[in-house]
Amino acid sequence: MTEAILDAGPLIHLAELDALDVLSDLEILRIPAAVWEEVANHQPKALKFPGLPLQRVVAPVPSAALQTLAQALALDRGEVEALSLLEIYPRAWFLTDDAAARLVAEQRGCEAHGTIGLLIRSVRRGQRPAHEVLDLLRSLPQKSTLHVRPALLDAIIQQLEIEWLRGLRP
Amino acid sequence: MVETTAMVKLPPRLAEQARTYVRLGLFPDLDALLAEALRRYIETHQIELLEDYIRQDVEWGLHGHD
Repeated sequence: MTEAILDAGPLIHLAELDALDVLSDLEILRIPAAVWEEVANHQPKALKFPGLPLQRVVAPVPSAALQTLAQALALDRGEVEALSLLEIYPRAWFLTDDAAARLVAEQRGCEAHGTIGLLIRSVRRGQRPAHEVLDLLRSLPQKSTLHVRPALLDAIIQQLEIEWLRGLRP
Repeated sequence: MVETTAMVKLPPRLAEQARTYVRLGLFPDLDALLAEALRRYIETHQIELLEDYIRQDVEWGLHGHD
C-alpha cells in the first residue's frame, strides 16, 4: 500500500497546474494540521479535489533531534509536523518541494518526492498522456509558484521528449 | 552597500496578512517584513540541492519501480 505524508508545496503546485489527479492512485494522503491550514489559506481547492484520500492529521510533538534540525535548517511548522509524522510512518512517501525538509527526511531513511517527479510518474503509471505532462511542464513558469531555473526545466523537457518519443517508436 | 528599492505587487490576502504582522508590532514596517521573508527564502532554498533533488525525481518519475 502506498501512502504519503504531504507538505504544502506539492498540493499547492499541483492544484495550480490542475493536476491533483496524479495523486489519486495513492491510498492514503496524510496532511498535518499546519500544512492543511497553509493550503487552506493559499489554495483551498486542493483540499476539495474529488477522489483524493486526504486525511487531516494532528502530528505528534517532534523529537528533540528533529526540533534541533528544524531550527538549524529554518524549517516551517508544516514541514516539522510532516517530518514528525514520518517518525510514526517511516514507510510513507514524503511529498515535498522543499530541499531542506527533504534532506532531513532522506537522512532518516524516508523516500521523498516532489511535484515534478509526481507529474512524470503519472505518465509511467498511465494516469496522464506524455504530451499533457510535457505541456504542464512547459506552462510551469506561468501557471505555478514552483520556481525552477529555466535552463534546468528546458533540459528536463528535452530529456522527457527523447525518452517518451523513443518509447513510441516501433 | 547601497540599498535596493523594489516595488512589489502582493495578492490582497497576502498583503492583508503582512499588514497584520506589522500591526501586531512583529515588524516595524512592510519593508522589514519583506526583507526578512526574502532573507529566509534565500537561506532555505539551496539551489544546488534543490536541483539535485529535481534531477533525482525525473529519474524516479521515468524509471521508478512503484
